[in-house]
Amino acid sequence: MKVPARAGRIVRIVLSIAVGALVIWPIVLYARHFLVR
Amino acid sequence: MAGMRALKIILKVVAGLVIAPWALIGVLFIWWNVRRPPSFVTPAELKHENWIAVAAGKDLRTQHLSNTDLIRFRDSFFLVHARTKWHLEDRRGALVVQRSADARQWEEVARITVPDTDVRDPKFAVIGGRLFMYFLPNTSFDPSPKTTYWTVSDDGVSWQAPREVEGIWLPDGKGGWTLSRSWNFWRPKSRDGRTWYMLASGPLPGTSPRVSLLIRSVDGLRWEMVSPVYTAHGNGEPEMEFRDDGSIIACLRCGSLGVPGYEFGNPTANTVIAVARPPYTEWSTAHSFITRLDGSTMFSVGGRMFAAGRNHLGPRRDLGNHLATKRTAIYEVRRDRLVHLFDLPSSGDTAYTGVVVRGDDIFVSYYTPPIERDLPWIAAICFQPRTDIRISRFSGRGLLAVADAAARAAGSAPAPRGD
Repeated sequence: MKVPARAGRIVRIVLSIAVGALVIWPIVLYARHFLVR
Repeated sequence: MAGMRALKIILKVVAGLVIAPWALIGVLFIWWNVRRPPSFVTPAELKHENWIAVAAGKDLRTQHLSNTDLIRFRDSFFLVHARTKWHLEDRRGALVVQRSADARQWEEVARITVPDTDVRDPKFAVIGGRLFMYFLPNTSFDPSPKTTYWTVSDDGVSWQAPREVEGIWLPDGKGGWTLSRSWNFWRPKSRDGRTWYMLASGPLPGTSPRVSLLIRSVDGLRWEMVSPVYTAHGNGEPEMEFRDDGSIIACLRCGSLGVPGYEFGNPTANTVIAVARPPYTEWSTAHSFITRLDGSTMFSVGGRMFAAGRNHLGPRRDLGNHLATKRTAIYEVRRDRLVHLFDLPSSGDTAYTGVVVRGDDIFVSYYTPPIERDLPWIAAICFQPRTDIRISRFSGRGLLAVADAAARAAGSAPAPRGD
């Protein structure tokens, strides 16, 4: 089955956001402590 | 074109290798935050109650409450705990002294600080009618204290400016004494209220492993060595208690019996149990491999010995793994082994207890991340380090009954008094 180009693009964007959030979340949890004094 | 395509593939592989571990960590964080903690149900005869004594709040600067101690002084409970932004070095951290009539409602009465210095592991002792506090300054990002400070108060509210202890006086082998520094003091105890004994950990002159010494004092200021307790392998956080027959029993945190490994645990991590009779110069030792008893407090009930300290969950082959969950737990301490009795509501970075025994009531202070989640140790150290101070109260008679039941379940006789 051929996935419409538009749907494929949306899937890629959603996956990228999800993986990006997974990557950034622990980094933010850790790094925020260097910002407080 | 073929070269460009190959370059793109290489870049994607490299990006994947960098991103994948962090994505995996992200997935682990989701799992750690959604998995359900256990119910922490305890046997009814304990009459166990548990409550938050000091809540962390949500201020990132002061959300990590840790390293407790608890004592009775002048008809009140006094609790001390560290207040920092996380488990790692925090030069703006403080030791907070709280007072309570019932151990439920607490009033902050003092803050102990050392300028631009991380402070931790406070311990109380009432010596000569005054409330002493010993604590450890730390100057490393990954904490590794190497000396002790002390302060004292007549009322638990007004405290002298903290000062460094002079060290420990060691026999110089010529009939005199020589001063040795770099010692971490733990918790003083006395049988007669005149001579105080304490275990301290640090390196003996000319050596590097941190070992434990028994030291004594009559004024809480000048401490001299009585004997080395255990020097075969590095150990620390040494806790002791007197038994009814006058002997001392001690529990030492021992990370390894010479086998490498720390971050992902160590198969030989253990608790050294050491016993000495007066004059406390000869020690017999045993090893318990069911846990490495971090941050413990020992106490006696009905002539039997117990400890509140850290229970490392997970397989014994990697005991102490940073990714594993820990609990604050109650153990019976026998001459040759620890017997796990029950866990207190806790997870992640937890323990560093204080204990008050008052009549049949046993009060245990400790710290833990919110118990609605079941975080591993590493998550609570520097990612989600919000922790509350909790207190458990349970019955001494109930504790003896639970210890008897544990002995029967193990097919052994209950410990006689003094075992």
